[in-house]
Amino acid sequence: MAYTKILHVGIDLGTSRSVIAADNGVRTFVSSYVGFPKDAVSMRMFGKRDIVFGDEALRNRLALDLYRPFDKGKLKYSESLEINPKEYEKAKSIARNLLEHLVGLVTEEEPEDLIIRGVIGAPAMASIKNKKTLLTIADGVLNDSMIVSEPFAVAYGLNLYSSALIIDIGAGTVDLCRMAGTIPTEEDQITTLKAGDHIDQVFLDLIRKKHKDANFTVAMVKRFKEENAFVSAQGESVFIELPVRGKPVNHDVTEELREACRSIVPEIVEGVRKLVASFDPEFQRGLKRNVILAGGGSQIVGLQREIEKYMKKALGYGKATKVEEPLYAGANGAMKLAKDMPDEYWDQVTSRKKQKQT
Amino acid sequence: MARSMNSKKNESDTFYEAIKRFHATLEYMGLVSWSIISRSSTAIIDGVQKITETVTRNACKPFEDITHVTRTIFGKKAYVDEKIKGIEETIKRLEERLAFLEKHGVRIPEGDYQEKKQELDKERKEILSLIVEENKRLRNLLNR
Repeated sequence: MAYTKILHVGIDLGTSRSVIAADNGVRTFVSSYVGFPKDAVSMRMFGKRDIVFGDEALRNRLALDLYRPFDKGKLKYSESLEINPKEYEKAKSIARNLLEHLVGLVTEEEPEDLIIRGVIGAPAMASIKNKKTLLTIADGVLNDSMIVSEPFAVAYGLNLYSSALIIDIGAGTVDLCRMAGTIPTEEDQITTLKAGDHIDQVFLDLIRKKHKDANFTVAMVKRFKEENAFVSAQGESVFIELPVRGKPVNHDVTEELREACRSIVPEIVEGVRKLVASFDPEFQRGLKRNVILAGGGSQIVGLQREIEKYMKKALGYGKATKVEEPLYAGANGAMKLAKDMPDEYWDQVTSRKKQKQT
Repeated sequence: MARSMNSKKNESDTFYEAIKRFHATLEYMGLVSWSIISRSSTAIIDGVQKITETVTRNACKPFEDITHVTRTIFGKKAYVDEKIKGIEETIKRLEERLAFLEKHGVRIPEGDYQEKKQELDKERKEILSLIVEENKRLRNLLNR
Protein backbone atom coordinates (compact mmCIF):
# COMPACT_ATOMS: atom_id res chain seq x y z
CA MET A 1 0.00 0.00 0.00
CA ALA A 2 1.30 3.41 -0.91
CA TYR A 3 1.70 5.95 1.87
CA THR A 4 1.02 9.53 0.88
CA LYS A 5 2.47 12.12 3.19
CA ILE A 6 0.12 14.88 4.28
CA LEU A 7 1.56 18.29 4.96
CA HIS A 8 -0.51 20.75 6.98
CA VAL A 9 0.11 24.44 6.44
CA GLY A 10 -1.20 27.64 7.99
CA ILE A 11 -1.13 30.71 5.76
CA ASP A 12 -1.55 34.39 6.45
CA LEU A 13 -1.78 36.22 3.11
CA GLY A 14 -1.12 39.73 4.33
CA THR A 15 -1.16 43.11 2.65
CA SER A 16 2.46 43.71 3.56
CA ARG A 17 3.84 40.26 4.42
CA SER A 18 2.66 36.76 3.67
CA VAL A 19 3.52 34.15 6.26
CA ILE A 20 3.43 30.36 6.13
CA ALA A 21 3.95 27.74 8.83
CA ALA A 22 4.03 24.03 8.01
CA ASP A 23 3.97 20.96 10.21
CA ASN A 24 7.25 19.72 8.75
CA GLY A 25 8.79 22.42 10.94
CA VAL A 26 9.39 25.03 8.24
CA ARG A 27 7.96 28.48 8.63
CA THR A 28 8.87 31.58 6.77
CA PHE A 29 7.53 34.80 5.29
CA VAL A 30 7.92 36.97 2.22
CA SER A 31 6.98 40.56 1.61
CA SER A 32 3.77 40.51 -0.43
CA TYR A 33 5.40 41.92 -3.55
CA VAL A 34 5.50 40.20 -6.90
CA GLY A 35 7.56 41.58 -9.79
CA PHE A 36 7.80 40.76 -13.48
CA PRO A 37 10.95 41.78 -15.42
CA LYS A 38 10.19 44.75 -17.67
CA ASP A 39 12.26 43.58 -20.63
CA ALA A 40 14.89 41.14 -21.84
CA VAL A 41 17.69 43.04 -20.06
CA SER A 42 16.00 42.86 -16.67
CA MET A 43 15.04 39.24 -17.34
CA ARG A 44 18.75 38.50 -17.84
CA MET A 45 19.51 40.36 -14.62
CA PHE A 46 17.29 37.94 -12.70
CA GLY A 47 18.87 34.85 -14.28
CA LYS A 48 16.07 34.39 -16.82
CA ARG A 49 13.46 34.17 -14.09
CA ASP A 50 10.18 35.61 -15.25
CA ILE A 51 8.87 36.32 -11.76
CA VAL A 52 10.51 37.70 -8.62
CA PHE A 53 9.10 37.77 -5.09
CA GLY A 54 9.36 39.60 -1.80
CA ASP A 55 12.18 41.91 -0.81
CA GLU A 56 14.17 40.99 -3.90
CA ALA A 57 11.35 42.36 -6.03
CA LEU A 58 11.12 45.50 -3.89
CA ARG A 59 14.87 46.09 -4.05
CA ASN A 60 14.89 45.79 -7.83
CA ARG A 61 11.59 47.55 -8.46
CA LEU A 62 13.08 49.83 -11.13
CA ALA A 63 13.67 46.79 -13.36
CA LEU A 64 10.30 45.22 -12.62
CA ASP A 65 6.60 45.72 -13.02
CA LEU A 66 5.87 45.53 -9.32
CA TYR A 67 2.56 44.37 -7.86
CA ARG A 68 1.10 44.06 -4.41
CA PRO A 69 -1.93 41.80 -4.89
CA PHE A 70 -3.65 42.63 -1.61
CA ASP A 71 -4.90 45.97 -0.37
CA LYS A 72 -6.75 46.71 2.86
CA GLY A 73 -6.88 43.02 3.67
CA LYS A 74 -8.50 41.87 0.43
CA LEU A 75 -7.55 41.07 -3.12
CA LYS A 76 -7.28 44.21 -5.23
CA TYR A 77 -10.25 44.96 -7.49
CA SER A 78 -12.34 42.23 -5.82
CA GLU A 79 -14.95 44.84 -4.89
CA SER A 80 -15.03 46.29 -8.41
CA LEU A 81 -15.03 43.01 -10.28
CA GLU A 82 -17.68 44.17 -12.74
CA ILE A 83 -15.85 47.40 -13.62
CA ASN A 84 -12.29 46.01 -13.77
CA PRO A 85 -12.60 42.32 -14.65
CA LYS A 86 -9.15 42.19 -16.31
CA GLU A 87 -7.33 43.80 -13.36
CA TYR A 88 -9.19 41.53 -10.99
CA GLU A 89 -8.11 38.43 -12.92
CA LYS A 90 -4.54 39.72 -12.98
CA ALA A 91 -4.56 40.36 -9.22
CA LYS A 92 -5.94 36.85 -8.67
CA SER A 93 -3.25 35.30 -10.81
CA ILE A 94 -0.52 37.29 -8.98
CA ALA A 95 -1.92 36.23 -5.61
CA ARG A 96 -1.82 32.62 -6.80
CA ASN A 97 1.83 33.10 -7.85
CA LEU A 98 2.60 34.42 -4.40
CA LEU A 99 0.83 31.51 -2.71
CA GLU A 100 2.66 29.02 -4.94
CA HIS A 101 5.95 30.63 -4.01
CA LEU A 102 5.11 30.46 -0.29
CA VAL A 103 4.08 26.81 -0.48
CA GLY A 104 7.18 26.08 -2.57
CA LEU A 105 9.34 27.41 0.25
CA VAL A 106 7.99 24.88 2.74
CA THR A 107 7.89 21.91 0.36
CA GLU A 108 11.42 22.25 -1.05
CA GLU A 109 12.58 19.08 0.65
CA GLU A 110 9.32 17.17 0.47
CA PRO A 111 8.43 14.31 -1.90
CA GLU A 112 6.46 15.00 -5.10
CA ASP A 113 3.35 13.01 -4.18
CA LEU A 114 2.44 15.17 -1.25
CA ILE A 115 -1.03 16.14 -0.11
CA ILE A 116 -1.05 19.71 1.14
CA ARG A 117 -3.84 20.76 3.45
CA GLY A 118 -3.96 24.41 4.29
CA VAL A 119 -5.93 26.83 6.42
CA ILE A 120 -5.83 30.43 5.23
CA GLY A 121 -6.51 33.39 7.49
CA ALA A 122 -8.85 36.04 6.14
CA PRO A 123 -9.55 39.48 7.66
CA ALA A 124 -12.20 39.32 10.38
CA MET A 125 -14.86 41.08 8.34
CA ALA A 126 -13.89 39.75 4.91
CA SER A 127 -16.94 39.53 2.67
CA ILE A 128 -18.27 36.24 1.31
CA LYS A 129 -16.95 37.35 -2.07
CA ASN A 130 -13.46 37.82 -0.63
CA LYS A 131 -13.47 34.46 1.08
CA LYS A 132 -14.62 32.80 -2.11
CA THR A 133 -11.79 34.52 -3.98
CA LEU A 134 -9.27 33.22 -1.46
CA LEU A 135 -10.61 29.69 -1.89
CA THR A 136 -10.38 29.99 -5.68
CA ILE A 137 -6.74 31.13 -5.38
CA ALA A 138 -5.93 28.27 -3.03
CA ASP A 139 -7.63 25.60 -5.11
CA GLY A 140 -4.91 25.53 -7.70
CA VAL A 141 -2.12 25.38 -5.13
CA LEU A 142 -3.33 23.44 -2.10
CA ASN A 143 -5.01 20.07 -2.30
CA ASP A 144 -7.46 20.89 0.48
CA SER A 145 -8.09 24.35 1.83
CA MET A 146 -10.23 26.15 4.38
CA ILE A 147 -10.71 29.78 5.34
CA VAL A 148 -10.88 31.09 8.89
CA SER A 149 -10.99 34.54 10.39
CA GLU A 150 -7.43 35.69 11.02
CA PRO A 151 -7.90 36.80 14.67
CA PHE A 152 -9.71 33.52 15.34
CA ALA A 153 -6.65 31.67 14.03
CA VAL A 154 -4.49 33.67 16.45
CA ALA A 155 -6.82 32.78 19.33
CA TYR A 156 -6.86 29.11 18.33
CA GLY A 157 -3.08 29.03 18.27
CA LEU A 158 -2.99 30.42 21.80
CA ASN A 159 -5.76 28.09 23.07
CA LEU A 160 -7.92 31.08 23.93
CA TYR A 161 -11.45 30.05 23.14
CA SER A 162 -13.29 32.25 25.59
CA SER A 163 -12.99 35.54 27.45
CA ALA A 164 -10.31 37.02 25.24
CA LEU A 165 -10.18 39.93 22.86
CA ILE A 166 -7.74 39.57 19.97
CA ILE A 167 -6.41 42.65 18.19
CA ASP A 168 -4.51 41.70 15.03
CA ILE A 169 -2.77 44.79 13.69
CA GLY A 170 -1.68 44.27 10.11
CA ALA A 171 -0.68 46.58 7.28
CA GLY A 172 -4.08 46.74 5.59
CA THR A 173 -6.50 46.14 8.44
CA VAL A 174 -6.78 45.96 12.20
CA ASP A 175 -8.98 43.00 13.13
CA LEU A 176 -10.63 42.89 16.52
CA CYS A 177 -12.34 39.72 17.63
CA ARG A 178 -13.80 38.68 20.97
CA MET A 179 -13.73 35.02 21.82
CA ALA A 180 -16.79 33.68 23.59
CA GLY A 181 -16.19 29.94 23.43
CA THR A 182 -17.51 29.48 19.91
CA ILE A 183 -16.84 30.57 16.35
CA PRO A 184 -16.98 34.36 16.33
CA THR A 185 -19.97 35.82 14.54
CA GLU A 186 -20.23 39.21 12.83
CA GLU A 187 -21.17 40.84 16.14
CA ASP A 188 -17.98 39.52 17.71
CA GLN A 189 -15.69 41.10 15.15
CA ILE A 190 -14.68 44.54 13.99
CA THR A 191 -12.30 45.44 11.18
CA THR A 192 -10.82 48.91 10.88
CA LEU A 193 -8.86 50.09 7.87
CA LYS A 194 -6.49 52.40 9.73
CA ALA A 195 -3.54 50.06 10.03
CA GLY A 196 0.16 49.94 9.10
CA ASP A 197 -0.30 51.42 5.63
CA HIS A 198 -2.28 54.29 7.10
CA ILE A 199 0.60 55.06 9.47
CA ASP A 200 3.02 55.09 6.50
CA GLN A 201 0.82 57.53 4.61
CA VAL A 202 0.34 59.88 7.58
CA PHE A 203 4.06 59.73 8.36
CA LEU A 204 4.93 60.48 4.74
CA ASP A 205 2.57 63.45 4.62
CA LEU A 206 3.91 64.88 7.88
CA ILE A 207 7.54 64.57 6.78
CA ARG A 208 6.69 66.10 3.43
CA LYS A 209 5.05 69.01 5.23
CA LYS A 210 7.94 69.62 7.63
CA HIS A 211 10.92 68.85 5.39
CA LYS A 212 9.88 70.21 2.03
CA ASP A 213 13.30 69.78 0.41
CA ALA A 214 13.75 66.13 1.38
CA ASN A 215 13.36 63.50 -1.30
CA PHE A 216 11.89 60.13 -0.26
CA THR A 217 9.44 57.33 -1.05
CA VAL A 218 6.80 55.39 0.89
CA ALA A 219 9.10 52.35 0.92
CA MET A 220 11.79 54.39 2.68
CA VAL A 221 9.51 55.73 5.39
CA LYS A 222 7.87 52.31 5.80
CA ARG A 223 11.24 50.68 6.47
CA PHE A 224 12.11 53.43 8.93
CA LYS A 225 8.74 53.12 10.67
CA GLU A 226 9.09 49.35 11.05
CA GLU A 227 12.36 49.86 12.93
CA ASN A 228 11.39 52.83 15.09
CA ALA A 229 7.60 52.97 15.55
CA PHE A 230 6.47 54.22 18.95
CA VAL A 231 3.55 56.01 20.60
CA SER A 232 4.89 56.72 24.09
CA ALA A 233 5.36 60.32 25.21
CA GLN A 234 8.86 59.71 26.54
CA GLY A 235 11.72 58.31 24.56
CA GLU A 236 14.73 59.19 22.49
CA SER A 237 14.59 61.45 19.46
CA VAL A 238 14.54 59.64 16.13
CA PHE A 239 16.33 60.89 13.06
CA ILE A 240 15.84 59.77 9.50
CA GLU A 241 18.49 60.25 6.84
CA LEU A 242 16.85 61.62 3.70
CA PRO A 243 18.51 63.07 0.61
CA VAL A 244 18.18 66.80 0.03
CA ARG A 245 19.27 67.69 -3.51
CA GLY A 246 21.23 64.44 -3.59
CA LYS A 247 22.99 64.96 -0.26
CA PRO A 248 21.94 62.77 2.72
CA VAL A 249 20.75 64.95 5.60
CA ASN A 250 19.55 63.89 9.06
CA HIS A 251 16.02 65.01 9.89
CA ASP A 252 14.41 64.90 13.32
CA VAL A 253 11.07 63.10 12.83
CA THR A 254 10.28 62.19 16.46
CA GLU A 255 6.99 64.08 16.64
CA GLU A 256 5.90 63.09 13.13
CA LEU A 257 6.47 59.38 13.79
CA ARG A 258 4.67 59.53 17.12
CA GLU A 259 1.72 61.34 15.59
CA ALA A 260 1.54 58.91 12.67
CA CYS A 261 1.63 55.85 14.95
CA ARG A 262 -0.97 57.38 17.26
CA SER A 263 -3.31 57.93 14.32
CA ILE A 264 -4.47 54.29 14.43
CA VAL A 265 -5.05 54.16 18.18
CA PRO A 266 -8.46 55.93 18.46
CA GLU A 267 -10.19 53.46 16.13
CA ILE A 268 -8.61 50.45 17.86
CA VAL A 269 -9.65 51.57 21.31
CA GLU A 270 -13.11 52.52 20.10
CA GLY A 271 -13.42 49.00 18.68
CA VAL A 272 -12.32 47.54 22.00
CA ARG A 273 -14.86 49.66 23.82
CA LYS A 274 -17.67 48.58 21.48
CA LEU A 275 -16.82 44.89 21.77
CA VAL A 276 -16.53 45.02 25.55
CA ALA A 277 -19.62 47.16 26.08
CA SER A 278 -21.82 44.93 23.92
CA PHE A 279 -20.64 41.73 25.61
CA ASP A 280 -22.56 39.86 28.31
CA PRO A 281 -22.01 42.01 31.44
CA GLU A 282 -21.13 38.99 33.53
CA PHE A 283 -18.19 38.19 31.28
CA GLN A 284 -16.97 41.70 30.49
CA ARG A 285 -14.41 41.59 33.30
CA GLY A 286 -12.70 38.54 31.79
CA LEU A 287 -12.62 40.16 28.37
CA LYS A 288 -11.03 43.34 29.74
CA ARG A 289 -8.41 41.28 31.51
CA ASN A 290 -7.39 39.42 28.38
CA VAL A 291 -6.70 41.75 25.46
CA ILE A 292 -4.17 40.13 23.14
CA LEU A 293 -2.13 42.14 20.64
CA ALA A 294 -0.87 40.34 17.54
CA GLY A 295 0.38 41.23 14.06
CA GLY A 296 3.29 43.43 13.01
CA GLY A 297 1.61 46.57 14.36
CA SER A 298 1.65 45.20 17.90
CA GLN A 299 5.39 45.90 17.86
CA ILE A 300 4.80 49.64 18.11
CA VAL A 301 6.57 50.66 21.30
CA GLY A 302 4.13 51.88 23.94
CA LEU A 303 0.96 50.76 22.11
CA GLN A 304 0.14 48.19 24.77
CA ARG A 305 0.25 50.84 27.53
CA GLU A 306 -1.66 53.33 25.41
CA ILE A 307 -4.50 50.83 24.96
CA GLU A 308 -4.45 49.95 28.67
CA LYS A 309 -4.55 53.65 29.54
CA TYR A 310 -7.55 54.22 27.33
CA MET A 311 -9.34 51.13 28.63
CA LYS A 312 -8.79 52.31 32.20
CA LYS A 313 -10.33 55.64 31.29
CA ALA A 314 -13.25 54.31 29.25
CA LEU A 315 -13.91 50.91 30.78
CA GLY A 316 -12.47 51.16 34.29
CA TYR A 317 -9.85 48.50 33.77
CA GLY A 318 -7.86 46.81 31.02
CA LYS A 319 -4.89 44.51 30.63
CA ALA A 320 -3.25 44.04 27.26
CA THR A 321 -0.61 41.44 26.39
CA LYS A 322 1.55 41.10 23.30
CA VAL A 323 1.87 37.65 21.71
CA GLU A 324 5.37 36.21 21.64
CA GLU A 325 5.70 35.97 17.88
CA PRO A 326 3.45 38.65 16.41
CA LEU A 327 4.39 37.93 12.80
CA TYR A 328 3.78 34.18 12.99
CA ALA A 329 0.84 34.14 15.43
CA GLY A 330 -1.82 33.91 12.68
CA ALA A 331 0.00 31.34 10.53
CA ASN A 332 0.89 29.23 13.58
CA GLY A 333 -2.74 29.18 14.71
CA ALA A 334 -3.98 28.33 11.20
CA MET A 335 -1.44 25.50 10.95
CA LYS A 336 -2.52 24.16 14.34
CA LEU A 337 -6.11 24.27 13.16
CA ALA A 338 -5.25 22.42 9.93
CA LYS A 339 -3.40 19.79 11.92
CA ASP A 340 -6.15 19.34 14.51
CA MET A 341 -8.84 19.02 11.84
CA PRO A 342 -9.84 15.33 11.61
CA ASP A 343 -9.45 13.64 8.21
CA GLU A 344 -13.21 13.14 7.88
CA TYR A 345 -13.70 16.90 8.22
CA TRP A 346 -11.14 17.57 5.50
CA ASP A 347 -12.90 15.10 3.26
CA GLN A 348 -16.06 17.19 3.50
CA VAL A 349 -14.42 20.25 1.99
CA THR A 350 -11.85 18.68 -0.32
CA SER A 351 -11.58 20.12 -3.79
CA ARG A 352 -9.56 17.22 -5.22
CA LYS A 353 -10.87 13.91 -6.40
CA LYS A 354 -11.11 11.45 -3.57
CA GLN A 355 -7.88 9.58 -3.11
CA LYS A 356 -7.36 6.50 -1.15
CA GLN A 357 -4.96 7.25 1.65
CA THR A 358 -3.49 4.73 3.92
CA MET B 1 47.48 14.43 129.01
CA ALA B 2 44.46 14.99 126.94
CA ARG B 3 45.20 18.75 126.70
CA SER B 4 48.81 18.18 125.43
CA MET B 5 47.62 15.77 122.84
CA ASN B 6 45.04 18.33 121.57
CA SER B 7 47.65 21.10 121.37
CA LYS B 8 49.91 18.94 119.13
CA LYS B 9 47.02 18.05 116.90
CA ASN B 10 46.04 21.77 116.52
CA GLU B 11 49.58 22.77 115.58
CA SER B 12 49.89 20.08 112.91
CA ASP B 13 46.45 21.12 111.39
CA THR B 14 47.44 24.77 111.07
CA PHE B 15 50.65 23.90 109.32
CA TYR B 16 48.90 21.55 106.99
CA GLU B 17 46.24 24.16 106.16
CA ALA B 18 48.89 26.80 105.50
CA ILE B 19 50.69 24.55 103.02
CA LYS B 20 47.44 23.80 101.24
CA ARG B 21 46.59 27.50 100.88
CA PHE B 22 50.04 28.33 99.67
CA HIS B 23 49.76 25.57 97.09
CA ALA B 24 46.35 26.83 95.93
CA THR B 25 47.67 30.39 95.67
CA LEU B 26 50.60 29.23 93.59
CA GLU B 27 48.28 27.28 91.30
CA TYR B 28 45.94 30.25 90.88
CA MET B 29 48.85 32.58 90.13
CA GLY B 30 50.12 30.14 87.51
CA LEU B 31 46.75 29.94 85.78
CA VAL B 32 46.36 33.74 85.75
CA SER B 33 49.87 34.15 84.31
CA TRP B 34 49.24 31.52 81.63
CA SER B 35 45.98 33.14 80.70
CA ILE B 36 47.62 36.58 80.35
CA ILE B 37 50.50 35.16 78.30
CA SER B 38 48.25 33.16 75.93
CA ARG B 39 45.85 36.07 75.35
CA SER B 40 48.57 38.57 74.62
CA SER B 41 50.37 36.15 72.29
CA THR B 42 47.19 35.69 70.23
CA ALA B 43 46.84 39.43 69.87
CA ILE B 44 50.46 39.82 68.92
CA ILE B 45 50.38 36.96 66.37
CA ASP B 46 47.41 38.51 64.52
CA GLY B 47 49.15 41.85 64.27
CA VAL B 48 52.46 40.32 63.23
CA GLN B 49 50.71 38.18 60.62
CA LYS B 50 48.94 41.19 59.12
CA ILE B 51 52.12 43.23 58.95
CA THR B 52 54.13 40.37 57.45
CA GLU B 53 51.51 39.61 54.80
CA THR B 54 51.24 43.22 53.63
CA VAL B 55 55.00 43.60 53.50
CA THR B 56 55.44 40.32 51.61
CA ARG B 57 52.67 41.14 49.13
CA ASN B 58 54.03 44.60 48.38
CA ALA B 59 57.54 43.26 48.09
CA CYS B 60 56.45 40.54 45.63
CA LYS B 61 54.11 42.68 43.49
CA PRO B 62 56.71 44.17 41.16
CA PHE B 63 58.04 40.68 40.42
CA GLU B 64 54.53 39.36 39.78
CA ASP B 65 53.82 42.25 37.39
CA ILE B 66 57.00 41.64 35.52
CA THR B 67 56.15 37.94 35.15
CA HIS B 68 52.61 38.77 33.97
CA VAL B 69 53.76 41.30 31.35
CA THR B 70 56.44 38.95 30.09
CA ARG B 71 53.91 36.14 29.78
CA THR B 72 51.43 38.37 27.94
CA ILE B 73 54.07 39.53 25.49
CA PHE B 74 55.77 36.26 24.78
CA GLY B 75 53.51 33.46 25.97
CA LYS B 76 49.88 34.46 25.54
CA LYS B 77 50.01 36.00 22.08
CA ALA B 78 49.66 32.64 20.39
CA TYR B 79 46.82 31.72 22.72
CA VAL B 80 44.95 34.96 21.95
CA ASP B 81 45.49 34.53 18.21
CA GLU B 82 44.06 31.04 18.46
CA LYS B 83 41.01 32.31 20.35
CA ILE B 84 40.36 35.06 17.79
CA LYS B 85 40.63 32.53 14.99
CA GLY B 86 38.11 30.32 16.81
CA ILE B 87 35.69 33.24 17.25
CA GLU B 88 36.08 34.18 13.56
CA GLU B 89 35.23 30.62 12.55
CA THR B 90 32.18 30.61 14.82
CA ILE B 91 30.97 33.92 13.32
CA LYS B 92 31.48 32.51 9.82
CA ARG B 93 29.45 29.41 10.73
CA LEU B 94 26.70 31.59 12.25
CA GLU B 95 26.60 33.78 9.14
CA GLU B 96 26.24 30.70 6.93
CA ARG B 97 23.48 29.37 9.18
CA LEU B 98 21.73 32.75 9.14
CA ALA B 99 21.89 32.86 5.32
CA PHE B 100 20.39 29.36 5.23
CA LEU B 101 17.61 30.36 7.64
CA GLU B 102 16.85 33.49 5.64
CA LYS B 103 16.48 31.35 2.55
CA HIS B 104 14.61 28.40 4.02
CA GLY B 105 12.95 29.83 7.13
CA VAL B 106 13.06 28.30 10.60
CA ARG B 107 12.90 24.54 10.67
CA ILE B 108 11.89 22.65 13.78
CA PRO B 109 12.83 18.96 14.09
CA GLU B 110 10.25 17.07 12.06
CA GLY B 111 9.84 14.15 14.44
CA ASP B 112 8.13 16.25 17.09
CA TYR B 113 5.90 17.93 14.56
CA GLN B 114 4.66 15.75 11.79
CA GLU B 115 3.54 12.54 13.41
CA LYS B 116 1.45 13.75 16.32
CA LYS B 117 -2.28 13.96 15.75
CA GLN B 118 -3.82 15.05 19.02
CA GLU B 119 -6.88 13.50 20.59
CA LEU B 120 -9.40 16.32 20.48
CA ASP B 121 -11.74 17.20 23.30
CA LYS B 122 -15.44 17.68 22.66
CA GLU B 123 -15.29 21.47 22.78
CA ARG B 124 -12.53 21.68 20.19
CA LYS B 125 -14.19 19.14 17.91
CA GLU B 126 -17.34 21.22 17.99
CA ILE B 127 -15.44 24.37 17.05
CA LEU B 128 -13.73 22.55 14.18
CA SER B 129 -17.03 21.18 12.92
CA LEU B 130 -18.45 24.72 12.85
CA ILE B 131 -15.49 25.86 10.75
CA VAL B 132 -16.07 22.97 8.37
CA GLU B 133 -19.77 23.88 8.06
CA GLU B 134 -18.88 27.48 7.23
CA ASN B 135 -16.38 26.33 4.60
CA LYS B 136 -18.88 23.89 3.15
CA ARG B 137 -21.31 26.78 2.69
CA LEU B 138 -18.58 28.80 0.97
CA ARG B 139 -17.73 25.87 -1.30
CA ASN B 140 -21.38 25.46 -2.23
CA LEU B 141 -21.56 29.14 -3.18
CA LEU B 142 -18.38 28.72 -5.20
CA ASN B 143 -19.71 25.74 -7.11
CA ARG B 144 -22.98 27.43 -8.02
